[in-house]
Amino acid sequence: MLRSRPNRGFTLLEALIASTLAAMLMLAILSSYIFLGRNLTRLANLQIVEAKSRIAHGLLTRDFQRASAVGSATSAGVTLTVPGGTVTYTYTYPTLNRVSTVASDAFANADLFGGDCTAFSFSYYSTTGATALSGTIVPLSVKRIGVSFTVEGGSTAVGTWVSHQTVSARVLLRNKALPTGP
Amino acid sequence: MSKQRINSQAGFTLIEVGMGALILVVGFIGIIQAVTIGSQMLDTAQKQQVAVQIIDAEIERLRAGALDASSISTLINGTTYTITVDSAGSVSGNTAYFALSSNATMSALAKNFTVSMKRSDVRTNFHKIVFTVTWTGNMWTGGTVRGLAYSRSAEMYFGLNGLQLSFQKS
Repeated sequence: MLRSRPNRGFTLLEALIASTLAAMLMLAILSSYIFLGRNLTRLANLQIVEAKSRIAHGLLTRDFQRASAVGSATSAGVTLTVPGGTVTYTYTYPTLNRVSTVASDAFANADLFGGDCTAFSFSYYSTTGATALSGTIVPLSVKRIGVSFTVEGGSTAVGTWVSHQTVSARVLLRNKALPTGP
Repeated sequence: MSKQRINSQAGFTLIEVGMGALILVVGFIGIIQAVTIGSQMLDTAQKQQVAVQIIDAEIERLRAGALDASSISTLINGTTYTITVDSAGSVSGNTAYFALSSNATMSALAKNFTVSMKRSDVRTNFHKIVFTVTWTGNMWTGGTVRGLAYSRSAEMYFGLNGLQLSFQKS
């Protein structure tokens, strides 16, 4: 009797239960791998976005600190007179372009965010408070400039989208010896 | 002979399967830990950046104030001024002495931060100002923040005619 059925298989019920359990287990493992992968990508994206923000923030702050005059100031752009030339920033969604006439400037004509900057604004201040800009004339009372910007990266479709906001200090310009003007 | 045949088809033993599963689980826990620690480190880096920006803002405020002599002269020598940002981003404390209290976009990034500033004169017309920013790391257990305490500190020296030097201490 035993000898005649040495290779007895599973019953249909056993096979069904086993395959259902195996499928559930595989589903759990696979979805947790996808979850892990997605979050690792998000972390990597966040790191990239933050690094971009830091580079741009450092460059902007340095330019403001050495600026001796401000021309054509708007919330989307500014021209600064710096030692050895001028630096012009222009924000056009989603790029911030920096054009410099200073000799051997490493970022002479560059988009600081690689097309990932979704919001950017320049704000202008006197030594005590906010300065209102009227038309194309930049008031001499502009002594400080601040920026705030948002950099985004990744993809919403696969859930790896990240966003990072930076608010700079209101940096005092080098033109502080100028008299308070109109 | 028959016994040999059956043995040749034997699968894994329970102990073998158990060991295999254990190794997989240990590896998996490691991966999950790596993600957790990675995100905590990024969070810390992000907050350190915000702390540095706050200190920069305070230094710039004092530099600008030197023009109309409104800021350093209003700080009493030896007194510590402190502001606290609550979980909603609003600032309370000695708000009149900080740039952060008039910068809502920045304070929104600095939730649960405490900023303090102390003036101590080295000699006449030579002021030392120490800035300290402290916060608690993100580690939630049972609904309360149980993370590590972090801080950033910078020192600023301020002389006559706008002569000044600042550096990060920690």
